[in-house]
Amino acid sequence: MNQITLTLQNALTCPVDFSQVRLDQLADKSEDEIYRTELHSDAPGISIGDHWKVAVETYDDQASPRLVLQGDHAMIHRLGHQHRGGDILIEGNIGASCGSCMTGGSIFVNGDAGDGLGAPTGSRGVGMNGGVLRVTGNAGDFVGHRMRRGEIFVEGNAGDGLASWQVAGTIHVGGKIGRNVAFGMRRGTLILENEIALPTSRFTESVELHSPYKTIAGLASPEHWRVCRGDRSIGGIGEVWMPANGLSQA
Amino acid sequence: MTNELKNEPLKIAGVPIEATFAEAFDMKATRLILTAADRQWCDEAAAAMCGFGTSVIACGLEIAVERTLSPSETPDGRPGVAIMAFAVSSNEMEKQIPRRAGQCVLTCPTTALYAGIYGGRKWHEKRIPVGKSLRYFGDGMQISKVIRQTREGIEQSVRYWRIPVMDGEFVCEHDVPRIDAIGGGNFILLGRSMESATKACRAAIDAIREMPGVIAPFPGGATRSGSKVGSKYPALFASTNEAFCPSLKGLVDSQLPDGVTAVLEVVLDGMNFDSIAAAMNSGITAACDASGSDGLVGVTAGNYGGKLGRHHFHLAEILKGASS
Repeated sequence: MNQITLTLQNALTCPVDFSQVRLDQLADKSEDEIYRTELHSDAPGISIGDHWKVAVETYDDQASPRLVLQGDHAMIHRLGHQHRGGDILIEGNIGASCGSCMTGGSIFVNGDAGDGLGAPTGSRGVGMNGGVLRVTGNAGDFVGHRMRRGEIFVEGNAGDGLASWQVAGTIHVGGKIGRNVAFGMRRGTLILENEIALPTSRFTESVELHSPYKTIAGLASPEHWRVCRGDRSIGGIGEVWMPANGLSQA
Repeated sequence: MTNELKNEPLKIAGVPIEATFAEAFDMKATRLILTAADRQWCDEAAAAMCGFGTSVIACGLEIAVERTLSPSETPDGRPGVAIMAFAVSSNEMEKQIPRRAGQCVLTCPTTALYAGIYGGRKWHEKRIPVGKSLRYFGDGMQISKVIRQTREGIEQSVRYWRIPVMDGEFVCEHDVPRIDAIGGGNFILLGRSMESATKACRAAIDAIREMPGVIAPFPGGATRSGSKVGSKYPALFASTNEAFCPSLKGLVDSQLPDGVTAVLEVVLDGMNFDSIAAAMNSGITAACDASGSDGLVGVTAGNYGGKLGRHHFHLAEILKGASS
């Protein structure tokens, strides 16, 4: 299977929509075909070759296809839109709506991610619907908005509206978070490594829960975690896990 | 009446081994990992799940603990056991496993249940429902979690069900793989006394107990009620194997050599031919070493002339290298 490496050659001056760049469609293309792939942008008529150096190498036939982006891609939006198989690796920052509506495979961001990580775009009612999204840095607002399946890991901080209207799936945030967390959450799991005070009008009091799930989910020191359920204002039964080690933010 | 063991060129610790074979059959099997917060809850749940699971003749399943697992060997880092279950048909397996999991494991405090054979549908297409059936006990409050993980070198997404119960949550996998396996491997210990047969049998089971991929589903690993196919009563499809009953020697065409007063049969089910063969080797060797020729008249195996089962475990081949 092919590994496609796109190395950013010159800084982007305007946002570029990468939703047309699908790994499953790129996987069988030659370097030249990828080079000539047109992109949506305010700047007319740009293609991958205008800004990226393209390298395609073939490796283990049994492995999944892989797309590697090298450089700061904060101006690239909707990368991994409807991604359904294979691995996408971003060595640098990525823009908004990364992994929107993805249904499988994995996206690994070795940097920061913009708003709407794993969230829906346009008029779509469902966000991330499968696969794994991992960000080593911080993420913007509305991480996991309307998420239905899959796993999101943000090792740094996340912005406002985290897990809002989440339907299912798991979101794990290692750092601090913004306002309106889990607003309208119906089901699903939110794991916060820093304890916060959830509004009592929307969430139940935290309880100690004996469950081997904590170990399976990879929670460190499983005995310290407590769980709240909500958003009760809409009859939701989602769960928010937090370690009971004191409040770090209000 | 037979007065001597037939064709017995092989001896272990002076005990003659008859040159015959054990006849075994194709079965369906699975392995489950049962864990709990402590060893006592774990063992109690395992005992319940494996209860009434000695023979497919009437139990539906042949099921037993394969081996105990340390916390480092289980998916959730708690004490556990590996349980293996064997059935004649996939339908019976799909009926029995959820039923036993629901009544014997879900009910036991702190327990959880996982697949003991790794790999999702991509590797094992045939599945047995566990959480797929038990989740409804959650009455809508159950939670499904798909977690990407790597076990034994296989990276896969595993669906777990978390069912709220009064001590917290019961966690189990959605389904577990079903594989083709072998049931009915056996060896028969011909004792000079009940005590010597028991001693040999217990030594054999001790040797087999922690071996991977094989179980001895009868009580204590052995049975005294070896059976033959059919009966004079039409309703029964198995009945006592009178050829091995000491009390009937002289009345029927007995297969017992002189001096035998008690016979015990160790029945083995295994994941494959090699696992059963290895267990038979270890078990027979341990039995002979424990009781010697003073306690055992010989060791033989049960078969139906090779007409019913396609797996034949020839004692002479299995014990090659074990003779003394």
